[in-house]
Amino acid sequence: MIATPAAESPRITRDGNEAVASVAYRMSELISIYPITPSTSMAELCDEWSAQGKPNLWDEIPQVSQMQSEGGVAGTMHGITMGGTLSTTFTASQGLLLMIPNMYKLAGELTPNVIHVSARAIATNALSIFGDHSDVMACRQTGYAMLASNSVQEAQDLAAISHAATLSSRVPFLHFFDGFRTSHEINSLDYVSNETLLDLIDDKALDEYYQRALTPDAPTVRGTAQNPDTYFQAREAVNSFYKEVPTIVQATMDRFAEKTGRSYKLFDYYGHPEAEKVIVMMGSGVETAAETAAWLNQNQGTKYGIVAVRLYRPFNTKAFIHSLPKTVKSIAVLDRTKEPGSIGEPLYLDVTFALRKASRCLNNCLPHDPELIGGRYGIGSKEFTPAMVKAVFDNLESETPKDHFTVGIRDDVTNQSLDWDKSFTIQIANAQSALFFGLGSDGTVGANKNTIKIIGEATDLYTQAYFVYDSKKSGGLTTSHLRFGADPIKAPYLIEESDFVGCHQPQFVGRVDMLSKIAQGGTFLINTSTDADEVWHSLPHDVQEAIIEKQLKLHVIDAYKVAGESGMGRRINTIMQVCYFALSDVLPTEDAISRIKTSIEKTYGRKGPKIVAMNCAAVDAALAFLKQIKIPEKPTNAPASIEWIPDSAPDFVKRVTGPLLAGQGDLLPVSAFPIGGVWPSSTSQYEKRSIASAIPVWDAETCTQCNKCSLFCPHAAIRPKIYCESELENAPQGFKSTAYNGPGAEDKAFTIQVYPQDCTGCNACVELCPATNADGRRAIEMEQLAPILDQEKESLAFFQEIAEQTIDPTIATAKSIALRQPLFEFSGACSGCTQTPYIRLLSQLFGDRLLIANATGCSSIYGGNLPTTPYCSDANGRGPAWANSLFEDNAEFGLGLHLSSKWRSETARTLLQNLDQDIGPEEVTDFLSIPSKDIDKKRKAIETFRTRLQKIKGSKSTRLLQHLDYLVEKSTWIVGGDGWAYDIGFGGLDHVLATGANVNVLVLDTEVYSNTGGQSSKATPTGAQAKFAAKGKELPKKDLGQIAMSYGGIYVAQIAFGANEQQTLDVLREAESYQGPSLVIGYGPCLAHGIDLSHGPARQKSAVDSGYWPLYRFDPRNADSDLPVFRLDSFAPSIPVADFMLNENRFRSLERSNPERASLLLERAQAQVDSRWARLEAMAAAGLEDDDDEDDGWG
Amino acid sequence: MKITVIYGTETGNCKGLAAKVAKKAAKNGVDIDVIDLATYDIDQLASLEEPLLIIISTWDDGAPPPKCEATFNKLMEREEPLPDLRYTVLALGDTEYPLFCECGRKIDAQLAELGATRLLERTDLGAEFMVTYIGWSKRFWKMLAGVFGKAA
Repeated sequence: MIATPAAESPRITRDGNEAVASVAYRMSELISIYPITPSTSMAELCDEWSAQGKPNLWDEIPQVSQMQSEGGVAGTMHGITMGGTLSTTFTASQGLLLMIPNMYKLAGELTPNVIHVSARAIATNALSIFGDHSDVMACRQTGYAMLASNSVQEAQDLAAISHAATLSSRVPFLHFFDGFRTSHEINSLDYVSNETLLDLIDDKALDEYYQRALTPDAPTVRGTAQNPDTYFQAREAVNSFYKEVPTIVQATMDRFAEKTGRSYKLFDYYGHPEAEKVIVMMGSGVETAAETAAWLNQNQGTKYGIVAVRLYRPFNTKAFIHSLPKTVKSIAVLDRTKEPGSIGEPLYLDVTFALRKASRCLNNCLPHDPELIGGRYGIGSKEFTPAMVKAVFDNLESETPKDHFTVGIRDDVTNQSLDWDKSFTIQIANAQSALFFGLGSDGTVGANKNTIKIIGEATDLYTQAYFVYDSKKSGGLTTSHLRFGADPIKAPYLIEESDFVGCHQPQFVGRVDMLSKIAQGGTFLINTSTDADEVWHSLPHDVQEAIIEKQLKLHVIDAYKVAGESGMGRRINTIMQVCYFALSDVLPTEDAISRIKTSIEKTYGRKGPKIVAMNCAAVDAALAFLKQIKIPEKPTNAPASIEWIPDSAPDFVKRVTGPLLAGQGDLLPVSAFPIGGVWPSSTSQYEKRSIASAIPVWDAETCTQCNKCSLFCPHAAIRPKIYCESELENAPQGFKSTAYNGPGAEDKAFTIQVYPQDCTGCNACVELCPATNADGRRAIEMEQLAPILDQEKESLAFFQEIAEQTIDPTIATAKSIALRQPLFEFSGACSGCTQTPYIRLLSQLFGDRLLIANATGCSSIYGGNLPTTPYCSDANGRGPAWANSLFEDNAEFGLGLHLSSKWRSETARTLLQNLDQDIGPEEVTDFLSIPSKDIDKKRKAIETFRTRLQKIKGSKSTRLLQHLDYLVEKSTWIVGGDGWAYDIGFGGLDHVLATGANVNVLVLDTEVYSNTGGQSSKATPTGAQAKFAAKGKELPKKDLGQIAMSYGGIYVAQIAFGANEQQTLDVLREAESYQGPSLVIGYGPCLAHGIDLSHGPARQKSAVDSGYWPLYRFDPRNADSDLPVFRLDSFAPSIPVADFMLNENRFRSLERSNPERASLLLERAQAQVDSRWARLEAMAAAGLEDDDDEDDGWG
Repeated sequence: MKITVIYGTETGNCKGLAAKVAKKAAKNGVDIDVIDLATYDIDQLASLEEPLLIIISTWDDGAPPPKCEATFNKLMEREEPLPDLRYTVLALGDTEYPLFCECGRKIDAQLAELGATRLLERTDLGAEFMVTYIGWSKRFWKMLAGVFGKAA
């Protein structure tokens, strides 16, 4: 299918978010924003366009203000619109919930505005960033009009209609479309011009809007308080406006159709004109349902139809009834949300009532009173496929249709789910598809976005692209789903039958299911360094079998070789892209290659001609390495199954974690899951991701046993152990060991063991290893994993079995802490993450009594995102207990956890004292005098008490047993990033610190919203470029420590692990032991800074050396001692702050794009450092008034 | 008036303290050379005329900071006396290690062994060195006031 070149057309290729943002930006004047997945890119684009000076419809440049939370955004928007300026915003999920209070106000005051929502699940039993309608359904009572879009094209068009209709009707609009499925799907759409947008706007309404503004020139008051005599009537005054909304929306849609030819109705009907079975729904699922109904009607003679709800609020019964074919006999209403305890989900209830009202009140009866059922689908982006649509119709066909059903899962507990035929699929006419499997960091997704762009620009074809990522921060699997064809692609579900499958990473073969979705006779391309003659034999049996059965064409290329030879290192994406074009016939290969080169020029032009030439050379070289493999008639390898989980693993891990790791999570039934959001810890040890191609290898001879490699390992994948030399008798060959060098070293051996399949290959350990031998080799150096994997696995197995020496729990030096078992291991954090070592330290210091409240963000994702959990337990089964509530409430949530455990501790102590005669008075007295750090002693005593209490009758004894373990006090840590601590959660944090409660706060300060991709926060420093700060941040970083110190009774410290590890350790221990609130702010260099994270610790050091990040402690306890309350732990800056800043891209990029502003901001940054240092020095000196060194005889 | 400060550091604490001494010296009008032990030629000690301050941390169970290991060993192995050298040692360490400030102690003992004159008793500073430094600084400068004949 070689397509004809594109004619002049306004057709563009965009994702849903960009399509919406483009309209919202052009139709607004002031925009307030806050990041939340999956809406963030809309806000980012507006910020970028504003920074570039892009005009709106009125040739003015909209201004964008970032707020501290969505609550703040809504408040600002309330003010902006009451002030008479056009406004909009973008959000989803929890963010939308935070806007609800203001939404009532905005609607009650009839103030036009539009909130664009990429609809997303709400956190309930767990957080989900994925798509469904739970968030928007929580707003249906606010008084906002609600418009639903079902595709990228519609999202653009209905965005325009929302902005126009809100002005005309005065009712504010919530415009929504499915998170990810529509917000992140790239599709072809016809661009809506400024002319059309201007034409939609009712000039009179706009003029009236400006006139209504709150202004002293025509003063009024708003937001009065009304009494029982008035509120009710005044509230009813909005009615006539709501009555007009459907008419206004339809008129706007009609006007839009005149201008663009794209016609919409309040309720659109698709399908057989005399349909008997109809599905009512909204969102992207409409397209799947409509296409499936059409296919079934055509191929199976059914009479099916779909009603797409567009204007959901106000719900217009008349328009709804008119949209239904008169022939309808039964209706299934599909809701993409769950409302436990309700008679039915919201849309189901609306439809039910609309039908009843139509027949009883409007005298607008349908000939048959239709049978009505409701069901749920697609919750949290669960796939919704043609087969599921068919299952819903089949249910309608059945004698006794299931009501309140679910489709898309297997519910074996309440049996509400429908079965669906997994083999059913519908052909998409005249379309080609391609599926690519890549790694998060290998550029596969970027290359595919480029491919779609090339096809969209070079041909008349319609295109669609959708990308699926796993939840790992880096090194995760990406799947790219590309479709294109002569007709618009209306298939908002993953590819079910692909003409082409590209495997960009050889290690996926046999481990990732890539061939179940390939079409008969399809093409399979593998990037592999295995010799072409050997490739076939290297494939596992199942893959060979699938290739033979499906008669696939198998091609291979050694893309890493091509990349290496053309100087591209490990960048294979363009090479694979060329191969795809060569193997598919979507474009003539020559044409495709020249277009790829043009885009290389565009992307890398700034980096210089050499880089461009290298890329182009790789493109030219690629095809010579592309080889087709001859397929034998039968598989040549014997069947072998992969062991995802070792036999020794706990039952849950085998039953649930195993399928999740094997990519079979969708198949797990409801009964497999723990209820109430509980999940077992200690499961990351079973994941064995093996994402590093090279791992550190230890040299026992060179090592000085400082343990720094272990101390800084972001994934706890390097561990030291001291053990008896006699253990070595059973050591396998190649196990490395050396004599232990330290106190009590006799007969002791020492080993540093790398966990080869858990290491992510970040190289940080190598960079900071201080020991080198005579040849300049460090005590730890990277080596290719493949040749040493088996040896390292064997060594590790032995290492784990060795009995280690007891470590004195009261000592915590930088060296000895590494010897304690980390109770936070192998998380999904980025390779080289600098936050995770802080958390691991907490687990090593206080792990067996550690209670963590974790704000939503990076640390909640790598801390608790399935499939596996990195927090784990010690030999006694104790370990960190971890929970995430929300983003904004983390401090309060942590306070609650603390108050609860404190209550139980105090109750236990009181009961213990009450029962002392029964338990043993002396032992109770002894117990109460055990120092708080002697936890082992306490635990031993508790076991004795337990045994005795079990024999003592009475309610007090029973009650004490219920609280007994709380006699060891828990250590509460409230952990989160700067977005939480400085912005959205600051009010709560401030309050919790001010309560005086004994809680500890650890702020992992990356100076941006790392989890949503690096948006600016109030922790972002002057001169840094970040998303939402495209011009470079102007104002200084907020000084959170200084604010907290102003209370006087809070332990406050700033730490930077790579600059001073002992200070970090001391601070964490002091904070914990302080019987009051503690705030520890840890500097965490992040990928978003544009740095190489293998130098993370060095970045921390440079930040401290330049005075950018001074280390200090403020310990209120010292008021009663010789030590000062405030002291500096770092020295006066020894390098200019520029030396620190200009090594990071976040600062350097501004220098490239706007050197004048960059140098101005740099000057400002230096002045800030200087003045802060002077202030801190003065504070430190003030604490030493009686004891400074002026009194030294030198006058 | 001139002094020499030699520091041996791994994490930068001793270097930082040396910088503090230098700042004070500038204020007091004393010339100062600040030298990293890692790059210092031990043989030069013999011809050093001005008072010497050595600031050294103990790295790990009595070992010197890894970067200074070679120089440290050379000093320890030295047998030629240093009769003209006048010195004092400021040692940093962590009291949680059993061999607290061991490295400073060894240097102090070795210089005394080689016949050098100890101008001021060695001071060992623990984790609170940023604070306890001040007391030492007073003693140090009082001692120097004596050496340079600056009457208090």
